This record gives sequence, structure tokens and C-alpha cells, in this order.
Amino acid sequence: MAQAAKGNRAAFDEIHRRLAPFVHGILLSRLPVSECEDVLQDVFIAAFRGIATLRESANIGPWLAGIARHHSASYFRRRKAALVPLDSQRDIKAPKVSYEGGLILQEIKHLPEAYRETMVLRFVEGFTGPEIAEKTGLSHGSVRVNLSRGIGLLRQRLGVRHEEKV
Amino acid sequence: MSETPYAWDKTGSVDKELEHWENELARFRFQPARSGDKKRRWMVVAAVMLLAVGIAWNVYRARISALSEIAGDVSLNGAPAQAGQKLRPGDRLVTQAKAGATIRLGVQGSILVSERSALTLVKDSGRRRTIRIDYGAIQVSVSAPPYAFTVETAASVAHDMGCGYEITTNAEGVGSLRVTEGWVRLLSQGVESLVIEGSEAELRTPSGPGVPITRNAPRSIRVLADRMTSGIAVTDFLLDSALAEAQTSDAITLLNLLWRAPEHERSLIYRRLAELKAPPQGVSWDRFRKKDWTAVADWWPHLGFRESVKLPTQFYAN
Repeated sequence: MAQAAKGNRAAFDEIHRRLAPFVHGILLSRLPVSECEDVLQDVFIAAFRGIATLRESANIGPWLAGIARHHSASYFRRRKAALVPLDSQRDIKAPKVSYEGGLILQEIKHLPEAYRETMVLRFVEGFTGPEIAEKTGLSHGSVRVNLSRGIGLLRQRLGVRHEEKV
Repeated sequence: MSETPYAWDKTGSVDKELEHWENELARFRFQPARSGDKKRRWMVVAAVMLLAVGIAWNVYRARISALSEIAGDVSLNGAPAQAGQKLRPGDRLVTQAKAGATIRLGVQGSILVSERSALTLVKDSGRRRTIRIDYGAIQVSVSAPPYAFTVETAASVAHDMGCGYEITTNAEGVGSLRVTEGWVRLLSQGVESLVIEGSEAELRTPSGPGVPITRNAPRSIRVLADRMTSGIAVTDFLLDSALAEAQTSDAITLLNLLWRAPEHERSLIYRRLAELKAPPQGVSWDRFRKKDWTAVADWWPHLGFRESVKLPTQFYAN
């Protein structure tokens, strides 16, 4: 990281290679799928410019996550489409999705914000609980709680959907 | 915490439902290659857009007429002109003493406007343009299909046939056309002259445009042409002298006189032209006697003119 902070492009590429899936997960929990790749590039450009300000290399995950969350918020601000409060999202009729993966992702995005990120990182990006804890800077306990409650809520929501279908 | 070890760190027995989620959601996973592809896609899109902008700009440039250079006191529609200004139909350009301007005609060519001149852009569709020179002098250099560029004066119309020429005129349309390259179809009072490179014709005579005269034409040829176009009777002596002195370089003058001369003189002119440049099979005096002017087009390629002076099929004589 010290090399990346000095502007070493190869060192930064290595950071990108290691952490891009993590940042992608953060973004995917907030943004439309089609926007993630572009915003991901923006996040790493911002990170490359600001990496010299990062003091602890161990904090790079949470630091990148912070930039990703900030860019997600900017994305909605730019489009003058403020994030709809989560409580009211439950009343929004979900658009029909023709494949199951899209439906599951859609339901994850309707989970409370605290669980959303963890669920995407675990089930989309494929990180384990300990890896998520390490990258986000959360405690193992917090990640466990987020996962456990997120899985429970998701099972519930998908069950409701299944019943609606039937 | 009732979740299985599989949910936490993928150990222990596989939770079938969670595994199903993982499989279904895998398509949304970060894929480095896809990022690169997208970047390349954007680069291709950007390149295509740049190309499109370049083409559009060139097409636009090909269509517009604009002032490319000015020197001295030049005005456009009464206001001081500036280099780069676009010209639209109806715009009038005036140059004062010791001034000049160059008009770029898209990709067709350019017009050099001399001092003390005034001209108006009458029509400009990008492909076809007409200018009217009110007075003064212009030097035209055009590379365009026949009839794509036309210059009007108070007394005549010059259709460009892909060439270079100079026109000098006064406000009454009295002046001259001198062709330096290719040829020009000059019309006045319903009569036509075919003016080729190396020759010069008056814009206006009592009976239409002047007949083209080459630089080295004998004086007798000049007098003959002047009299015939002015409606003055020609003596046999003058006619005989002029035809005797005519050289192959005067073929264009004799050819133009064929449709300006009375029948008797026309037969003598035909005979002399046929001596200088033998007509091809099928071209005979009989066709000229009957005023079958398509015979001109048949003879034209055999008169020794350069390839750049190719007569188009739209030749109608009078």
C-alpha cells in the first residue's frame, strides 16, 4: 500500500485486483446492476487520488467502502432520485423479474440497509463471514448478526413471494 | 444465531437453499474481464462517435460557403467583413480600392474577388451555387460537375464546366470572360458561346455573348468575329482573309461562328474548319445547313481540344 500511496500504478492495480469484488458488492447492494461497473471505476479513480491520505493500510477496506457508499449517494443525487426510505419500499410493488437470481437480488435490496451489504458480499461476491468482517472493519459478531437476520428475512420474503405466485 | 456454519464460512454440510441463492446470484458477481470489455466497448463507441463527428464536420464544411481570406476594406451586407464568416444566399460582398477577398465554396473551389467589386450569393444548396457579380472582377477556380456553379452578370450567365476562369464586368454587364482551364458555357440573350481554356470572349455583344478568341488569333479573325456578333455585314474580302489566316488554334472561334453566321458564310466557315480539323464520319455540311447542332458534339472530340474540355451531352447550341 505504501507503494500505491507513492503513485505506484502496479501496486494500486494489485489493490484493485484484491478489492474490486468487495467494492462491487458494496455498490451492488445500493445501485442498479447496470451502473455498478461505471461507478466502480469512479470509486477506484477517487481512491487512487486519495490513497496518500490513508494512514493505516489495514483500514483500506472500510476506507474504500466509505468511498463506494459516498459515490452511491452521489449517483442518486445526480439523478435527483433520492433513496426511498426502506419502510416505504415495502409498499412498492416489485417489478416482475423473469429469472430467479434477479428476484433474489431484488429481495435482498429490500432488506434493511445493515443486512443488505453483508448479504450481497456473502451470496453474490462469495466472501465468507470472516472475510466480510476483515474488509468492512465490522466485528465478527456484527457480521454474524447481519447474516443471520438477513438470511431469515430473505427466506421470509422469498416465501411470501412463493405464496403470492401460488 | 441459528444459521449453519455454511452460511458463516462455507464449512460443514451444504445448506441447499443458500447454495441455490449463491448459484442464482453468481451472474451478478464482479467480473474483471467484463469490466475490461466494457471499457473497450466505450473506447470503440468513443472512436465511432469521433469519426461520426469528423465526417459530419467535413460534410458541413463541404456544404458551406465562407470568406476564407480578406484584405483591406471589405464589407458583407454593409458591415465590415471578417475572415471565417459564413455566406448565405442573399449576402452581398463589396470590396473597395486596394482590397480583396477569397470565398471558399465548400469543397467545390474558391473565388478570388478583386478590388472595387461587388457580388451576391444568389443560391447555395451546398451542391449547386449561383453568384451574381454586380461589377468588378473575380477569379474562379472550381472543380465541380457541369452546371454546379454559375456566375451571373447583368447581361450574361456563365455555367462552369469544371474549370478556372476570370470575369470582369461593369454594372451594365459589359466585360469579358477569360478561361484558363477547362471550359465555360456562356449565355446571353438566348445565344450560347463555348469558351475553352486559352480563349477569351466578351460577355455581351448586340447579338449575344462574344465568340471565343484565342490569344494568338490573327487580327482578321478578331474583326470577323466582332462584326458577325455585332450584326455588321461582312465583306467577302474580310471573310476570305480571315479564313485563310485561321489556324488550328482558331478552331474554337470558327466552331462558335457556325451558329452565329448566315448560311452562306456558315458554309465557308464549315469548309475551312473541316480543312483544319477533319470531321469524323457522320458529320457533314448537310447537318450544319439544317442547323442540327448535335453535329457539334460529334465533331468536338476531333477538334484537338484537351480532355479537360470535354463537351457534355447537355449541349444544345441555341
